[in-house]
Amino acid sequence: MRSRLLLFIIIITAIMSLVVSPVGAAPGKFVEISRPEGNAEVVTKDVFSIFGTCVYDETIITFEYKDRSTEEFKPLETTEGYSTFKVGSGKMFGKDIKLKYRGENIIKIIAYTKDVKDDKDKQVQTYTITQGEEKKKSNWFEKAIEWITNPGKDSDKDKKD
Amino acid sequence: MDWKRAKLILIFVFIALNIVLGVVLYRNIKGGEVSQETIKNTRSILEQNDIIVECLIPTYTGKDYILQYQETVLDKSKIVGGLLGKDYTKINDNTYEKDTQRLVFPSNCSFEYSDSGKNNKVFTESKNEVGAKLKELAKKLDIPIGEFQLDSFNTLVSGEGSRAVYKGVYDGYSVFDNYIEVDIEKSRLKGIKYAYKKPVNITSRDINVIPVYQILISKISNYPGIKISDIDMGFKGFNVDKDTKTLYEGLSWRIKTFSGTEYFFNATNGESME
Amino acid sequence: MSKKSKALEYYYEKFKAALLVFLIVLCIVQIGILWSSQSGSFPFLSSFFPDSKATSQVSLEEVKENYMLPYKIVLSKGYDEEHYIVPNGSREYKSLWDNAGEYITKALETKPTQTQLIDEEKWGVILANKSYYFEFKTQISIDIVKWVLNIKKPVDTLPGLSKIVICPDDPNNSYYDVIYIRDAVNIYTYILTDHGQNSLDQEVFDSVYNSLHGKPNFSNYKIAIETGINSALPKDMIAPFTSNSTEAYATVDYTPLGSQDGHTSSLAEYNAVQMELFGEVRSDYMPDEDVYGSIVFKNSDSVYRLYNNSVAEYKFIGTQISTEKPKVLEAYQRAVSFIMDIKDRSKYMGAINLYLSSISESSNSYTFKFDYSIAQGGEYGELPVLLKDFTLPGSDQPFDSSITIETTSKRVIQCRWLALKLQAEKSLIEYKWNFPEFVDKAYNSIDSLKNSNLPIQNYGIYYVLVQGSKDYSINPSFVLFNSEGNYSIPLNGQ
Repeated sequence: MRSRLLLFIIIITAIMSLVVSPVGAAPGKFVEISRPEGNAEVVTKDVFSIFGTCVYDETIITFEYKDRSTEEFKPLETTEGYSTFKVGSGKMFGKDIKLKYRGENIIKIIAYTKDVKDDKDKQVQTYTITQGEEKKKSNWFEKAIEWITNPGKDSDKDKKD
Repeated sequence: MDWKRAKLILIFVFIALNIVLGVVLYRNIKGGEVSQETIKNTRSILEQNDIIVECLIPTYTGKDYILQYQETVLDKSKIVGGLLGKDYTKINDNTYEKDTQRLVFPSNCSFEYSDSGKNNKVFTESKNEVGAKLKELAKKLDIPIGEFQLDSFNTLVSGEGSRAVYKGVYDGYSVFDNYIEVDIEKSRLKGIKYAYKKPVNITSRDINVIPVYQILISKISNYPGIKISDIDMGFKGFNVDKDTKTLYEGLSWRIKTFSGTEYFFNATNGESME
Repeated sequence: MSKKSKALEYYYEKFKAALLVFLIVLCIVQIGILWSSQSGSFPFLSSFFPDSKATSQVSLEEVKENYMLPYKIVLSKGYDEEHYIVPNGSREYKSLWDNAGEYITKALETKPTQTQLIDEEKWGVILANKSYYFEFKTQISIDIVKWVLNIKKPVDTLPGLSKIVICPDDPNNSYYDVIYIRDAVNIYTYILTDHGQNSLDQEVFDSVYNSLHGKPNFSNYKIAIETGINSALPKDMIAPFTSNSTEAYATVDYTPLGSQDGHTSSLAEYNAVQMELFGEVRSDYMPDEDVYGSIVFKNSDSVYRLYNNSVAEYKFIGTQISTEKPKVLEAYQRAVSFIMDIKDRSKYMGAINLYLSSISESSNSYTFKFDYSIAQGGEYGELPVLLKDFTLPGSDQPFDSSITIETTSKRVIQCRWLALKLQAEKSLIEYKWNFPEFVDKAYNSIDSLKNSNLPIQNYGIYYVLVQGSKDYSINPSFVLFNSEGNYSIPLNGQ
């Protein structure tokens, strides 16, 4: 009888731990970055938009970029002129940044709330944005020639550039 | 050019033109006459439909008028006291009872009194004396009896007792929605139905009424077998819903039959008013 | 001739002249009286002219396009590129929608090349990539579309349409014109292989783009799909998600119909209200009032009511004979004719455009809702009106659209509409705003929004009209919608 009770308690505890642990959330998870998508993106324009949705009200976000000459991270200002900004109860943000370099740009997004005192508890995510050559805008005639010469290439559908 | 002669010709031309315009204007204001020939034809058409008209058919086709009312609220305490006396039972805000007597206020400006048994309210069976008796009662109930006149005095359908109906009058016009219906049985008061809103003003409208012969032909011909005892005109409104008041009413034709049924038709569009 | 007879003749001529003048004046007076008694039409000639109702019937065909307009037209340069909202009512808007009609007609006269269930992400990518996007406020029934666009040989595939993407000369589809039409369930792709029209080609695109580019309104807009596929926003939402958009809007002044000093029940006041409501004094309607203090005009089968909150109502109270299932097009035509009549008769709706915002069907009637939009003047487009907290006595339904009309195939059963004199001021005020900032403001200041914790379904810039407000001028507000309701925050003017 006793052992059955013990077994019951163990099963309940195991189930509870499975259910409760996601609610507690991984420590240091303050923002869900939706753009850049994945860890790296290749773009053609020198202005890139970063979007994210915060987990808590009053989240502080800082952007940094890796300086090629010093190999150190430095504050990266948005086009509005801030490198650190607060996101309130709306939880979402969207900011334009001017990419520092052609080619690879290492960007760090740091997120935390005011309760976080220690740097190691802050959420830090690093992304690589590669600025490629702007695609040469071909005119309709050139596109038509291209299609005639490469007829199979056209079913590229609704691609994202 | 002989200017003197031209002036004379112009005078004659303008006199002729003014006469023509004058006639048109007069006809417009009068709204057009209804000829006796038309009335005669109407009667014969109705007779073909088995409808007898035993009264004059009015020929009025003039302006419509609009009657304005003032919101009127009955003094309930006077009505209750005057009809039930003391020791009555209040069933709810609008219903009072005493023995076999019942008094209901369907709205702020109307009441219905009925007695299913015998009471002490001795009235009269005489048509001539009902008015005098009602005047006495009206004084107690604070009812403006001077604004009503006897409209009909008939034997009740049950065969026992009579009903005297008084309709409102204002400025020479009947006001059909203001009425007192008094039911008498064996010289005793069996019931009163009363509705009254104070008329305050009559204004003419820039629209002519439809002559009643048109209504008789187009609408009354749908009721074969009826015998029409009276046709007259007065103010009558219609209810849209319980939330809408009636502050203004237009003219309507009333067609009464010998059996006591009344048909009302809006005098400007001929629509039936149920 | 003696002196005496000369004098006599002199006075006789004077008398004749005076009599002539008198007769001329009398003639003019009589004509004047007759004229006025003939309801404004010239006597003798009135029979030669058709009455206004007949004219109104004819014009339904002519104006039907004005009642089925896209609520939003977007011009896109491509994914992550510029997107412009074409100002509603502008020259560009009219020309784009007129030309789009040709493409939609052609598409609906063919079978779709592909039909697929809606994939929000894919749809977002399509509209971000392709040149033209047209969005209605609701799904328009195909019968209405066919009638408005004069589609003669339709291939009936889809029940209606709510969103359309047009990509003329699509390089990804062999340079054929490609049309994507979306209803509530599917995305239909039409590839027009034999479409000779080029009314939306690159030249037209460039011309509209050049006219919009550099103008303040509606720049810096992005499509929500560009904020990432994991973003919680509806993927086809378009808004300034990063930088501020600078937009110019007028302040709108409004005044109620009738007296502003309170209702008096006087016949003169009733006549004044009728003049504003119907453009004439309707002697077939008896003036009245109800227990809520509304002004009422009634006859034996219908009632007009002007509620204290400036909502006007028409109600048919006669007997309904027909119980047959109504046809949506016939019901819609009844609705449009009725609204057209209201618009024609009343002066106060002159600066208002209408957008069909909902169609719902009950057992024997259809209910159509329309929203008002107020013209800002030319290139600045229009701004819609949003009604907040409007309720009507005796009704448990909120009055949330500027017009709600219920019709059968045979008649209008009920119509309620906002009867206010709305007028945009001539000068415009600049507003700078971006989406995340105003979402933040809304969540920070509106507890019910914060507590609801529901995803955002839509947003818009509106003139928000609050019931009972005594402030007779309104400035634009940012409004968020979720499944529970809407939440507004005023924009900050510069």
